[in-house]
Amino acid sequence: MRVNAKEIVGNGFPPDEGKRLADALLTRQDVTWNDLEIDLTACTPALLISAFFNGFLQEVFEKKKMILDDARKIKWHLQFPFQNDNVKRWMSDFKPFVRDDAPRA
Amino acid sequence: MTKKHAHTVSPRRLDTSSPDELIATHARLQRLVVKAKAGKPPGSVNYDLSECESIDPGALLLMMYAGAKLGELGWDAYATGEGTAHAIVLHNLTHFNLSDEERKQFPKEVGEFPLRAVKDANHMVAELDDWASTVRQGAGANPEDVAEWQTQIAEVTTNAIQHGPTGLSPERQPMPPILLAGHADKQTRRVQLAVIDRGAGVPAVLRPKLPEHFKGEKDGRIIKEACRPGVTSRCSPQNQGAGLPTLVGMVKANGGTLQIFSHRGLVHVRNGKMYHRTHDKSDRRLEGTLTILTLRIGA
Repeated sequence: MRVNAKEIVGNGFPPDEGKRLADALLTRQDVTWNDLEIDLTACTPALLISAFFNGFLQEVFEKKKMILDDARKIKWHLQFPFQNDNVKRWMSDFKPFVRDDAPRA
Repeated sequence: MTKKHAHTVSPRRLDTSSPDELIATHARLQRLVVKAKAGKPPGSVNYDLSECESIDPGALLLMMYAGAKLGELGWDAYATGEGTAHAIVLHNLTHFNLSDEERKQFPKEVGEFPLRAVKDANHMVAELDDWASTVRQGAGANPEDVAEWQTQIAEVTTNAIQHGPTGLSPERQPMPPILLAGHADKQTRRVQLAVIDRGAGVPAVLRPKLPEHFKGEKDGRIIKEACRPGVTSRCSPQNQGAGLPTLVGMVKANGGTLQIFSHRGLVHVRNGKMYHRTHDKSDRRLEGTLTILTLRIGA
């Protein structure tokens, strides 16, 4: 399924907007994470930096850890080729941050 | 008591295009601050740009930085003269001091008004959007060039906002605005983009987080380490240590140059290689971080 991110995110601080996108998708019942495509072509490049994607994945990790691997495989639609290269690297390099106060298994 | 008055004549060029020029320009402007610290009661400083023929964005930001420091010491700072550099400074300051509403009404001409401030996190993206398109005007840059500039500068400003004035707090704290300047040159097909913040500075933020054997390293080496993928202060959960390595990678791919100057350290990327140095004069220390990118347009 394909989601237009511009309908969810604004032009706020990139890590906050990444978190907002994750939150919105996590609360939707109709989102199938294993075939998710997210269209970011209408978002300004100043928003689509490493902190946006790290904010997105960190939120997925904190709210629904078991779908983190699916989230890493999301197909992102971007406007420029250099953005694809960056996002591919950020998705694979992401390491979840485990808070000191998080419940431990 | 009579107020003191200092008069300093600028050299012909105020330039930050290489590490030597950058350090020299900063040292020259810092001398005014050092003099002001020694002189009581506060007075005024006149920085005479009559003989100065050119000033680049990095130097403009260093001048703003020195002006802010002088202001904090109670001194009034003026830039006077009739030359090209003075016209650029005056032009930038006039536009810079307008309110957002006034700025919208102000008639823009090609290549003008590259000096901007990012005052808070929530307006950063919109500010960068508008700023990058203003720098672009008349330079023949294509939309992908501008998108790359926006990405690179957003990585730098996000780092500055996340680290704040004390450097290690996950809370966003009020801080002096982050200043941006840029100039695209149609003839050389190059753009210089510069960002200065007055946060804690890269060495202060990162040094406590590095392994023990790094603690005694000089500032330049610490900044170089910050450019390695995965090296992070982890001041918030989103910090992955991806911002600076992304910046370095994009500059290398472009064939441009990058300078990151913070405290007494400087990292320089040129011809795909990274160099670092640390200067030993403490009065030339830069509180915060100055980042300067020189990029090829249409690379």
